[in-house]
Amino acid sequence: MEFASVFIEYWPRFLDGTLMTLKLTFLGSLIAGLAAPFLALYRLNANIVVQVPLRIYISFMRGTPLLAQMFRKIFLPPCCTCKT
Amino acid sequence: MLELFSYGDAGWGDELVAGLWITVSLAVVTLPFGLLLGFAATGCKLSPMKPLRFLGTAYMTVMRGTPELLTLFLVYNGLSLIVNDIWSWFYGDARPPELSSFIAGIIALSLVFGAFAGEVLRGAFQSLSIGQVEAAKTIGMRPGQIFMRVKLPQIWRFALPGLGNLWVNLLKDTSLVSVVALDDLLRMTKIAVGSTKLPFDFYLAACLIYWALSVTSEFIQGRLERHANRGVRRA
Repeated sequence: MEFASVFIEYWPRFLDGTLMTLKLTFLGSLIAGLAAPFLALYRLNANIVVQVPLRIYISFMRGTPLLAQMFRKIFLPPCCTCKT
Repeated sequence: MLELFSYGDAGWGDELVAGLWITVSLAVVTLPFGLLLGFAATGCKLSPMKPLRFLGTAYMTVMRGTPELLTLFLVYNGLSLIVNDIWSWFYGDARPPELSSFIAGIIALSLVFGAFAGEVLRGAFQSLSIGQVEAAKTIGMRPGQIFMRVKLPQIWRFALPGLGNLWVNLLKDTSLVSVVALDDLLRMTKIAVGSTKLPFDFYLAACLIYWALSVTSEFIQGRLERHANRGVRRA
């Protein structure tokens, strides 16, 4: 069967991809998990000067597609990105 | 700067508006199909018959557990293979019609929306109080009447926050169709970037447009929720 042979031939690549997926998920949720509690506390308790930018940030991140965000990030001016 | 976004041959304003139109119409057309699929999936999952229950559970688990991008690719490539096969069965070597990426997008997004909506609606169905349904039976309402007059208004109230979230997700996920060559907002932005070499400005503009759509949706959702919750006292 074609499907099985594709998998047998390419399984190392699938494995590589899966590992990358797990790595990204782990790192992403780690960073988010560290930042989120503080964001939540500030969002609830901070004064208006901190609240307004925070609310805008949260609304913006929730309201725009990930794909658009990613494309935009890649092209941020060099001063705003770290070299990877 | 501003003339870049102007309307007409010099600027990219009209292209972006055309993309925005595709994005919005894709989401609006997907919504009813997705909701119908969601109701069907909930009906299956809560049905007393075991095969139906299995079917509903399998559909929701698979669609919720695979990336939407993958679903889109499967529908876009797989469905055209099936269409070609059927076409050659009937018409021999005549050139098969091309499956439009708009229709593939609607099918894939509806499948995904239906699975998530099914889960939201299941929660809503299960929060209905049995006593009210029994009371409706007692005064002689038919099943259809019970559904329209007792169940549906309350399901609407319970499901609205979840469905609103899903709608915003749907609006954002339409950006995925840009990878199957449908000229939505994100793809038009990409084309503009390729031509003007101003990625930061154009992607920021696209983000702001999507943001405006999301904020508008949230506002409307708030109004709808207030209307659906009228007459309910908060404890």
